[in-house]
Amino acid sequence: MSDAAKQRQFETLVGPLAPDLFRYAYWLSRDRQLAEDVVQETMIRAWKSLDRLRDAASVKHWLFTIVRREHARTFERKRFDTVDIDTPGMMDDNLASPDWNHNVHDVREALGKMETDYREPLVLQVLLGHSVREIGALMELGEGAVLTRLFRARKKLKAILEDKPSSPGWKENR
Amino acid sequence: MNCIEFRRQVGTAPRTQSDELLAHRQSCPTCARLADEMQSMDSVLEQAFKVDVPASLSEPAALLAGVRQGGAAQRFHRAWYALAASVLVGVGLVTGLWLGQTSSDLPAELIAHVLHEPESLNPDLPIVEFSRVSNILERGRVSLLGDIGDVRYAGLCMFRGNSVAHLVVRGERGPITVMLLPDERVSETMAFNEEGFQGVIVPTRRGSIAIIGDPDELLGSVREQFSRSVEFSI
Repeated sequence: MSDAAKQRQFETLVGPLAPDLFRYAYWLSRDRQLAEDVVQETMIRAWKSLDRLRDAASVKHWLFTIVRREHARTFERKRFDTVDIDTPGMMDDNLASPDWNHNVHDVREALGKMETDYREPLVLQVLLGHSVREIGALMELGEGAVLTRLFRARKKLKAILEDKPSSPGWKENR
Repeated sequence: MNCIEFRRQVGTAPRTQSDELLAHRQSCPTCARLADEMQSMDSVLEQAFKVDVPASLSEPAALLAGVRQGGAAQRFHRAWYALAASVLVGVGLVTGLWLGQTSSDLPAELIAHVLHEPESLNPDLPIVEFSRVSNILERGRVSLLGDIGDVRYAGLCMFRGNSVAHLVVRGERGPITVMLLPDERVSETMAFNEEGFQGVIVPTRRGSIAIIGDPDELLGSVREQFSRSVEFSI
């Protein structure tokens, strides 16, 4: 593959995913520098493997998997994935608060207090638009377990936010 | 669809839409309220997740340049590391003094570390944003008490099993490396000159500061500036 063709393929298939990969890496680690390093490393690996990358769907899954593994490797953390398929608490009327007026800053702070196991499926679904099946494939979980985590994640988020009075007004604070 | 199924779907994917969901929503005010609130929650969540992306990853030209330079830097980095390691092993075999003498090892290990990160010595590096420097210092257990000037490289590195701040500032002759070592204590100032570098290790109240530069560089002003402007956290 010529350098120009390689560059075009990189710009088409890989480059547009870099911002999403950074945000995913950030919400795994909550460390901007580490997230940037992990994504840079992922980009370099993608560049080296461009000859073998063809369709957008498999590239996306491949890149997110690299980011996830690179993050896990960095922390040398063994993950104990559970297979929790029960759905306790799903009839909880208090899932959402009557007045959902928390601002972005409050929510970011609350997300920081949440375990990565719950934050991760939430960012994949809410920000990155992954389906339950895609989240399961990435996190190596069954769909039932993903659904349970998504449900519990929202419940946990609400519980954390309720421990803290919300900031006055609703403002974006990126 | 009953309330249980509606809430299961809304609780796991609030933005899901289907005729069944819509029908239940229209017939059950309690579930409709829940769905509205869950959707509001997801809207705020989406905004919260959208942290700013660094220019190195968001701008196509910068991204491509980073990938090209990164690949080259990595190869260079590995080559230098192998060279530095072989030099140290060779010196150790010849003198028999390098291993087992902690204080005298320190200069050699510092130089090996500098060689391990040759990209840090690129004279054309731009000024690092203060927020990044500050973040590195904090993670390296360093408190900033005053101005340390423009930093051209800032990294958090593993050195002797500890995370330390590795900075580079610009000197008269070239880059000057400053390693802030909260876990290394020396009884007195140690000067060294080897492997084409000169350096000085300065004791502080807790830990020490290593400054390494070109053999002709004047390290005094950087030494004074950092001794005055940084303090190690406990």
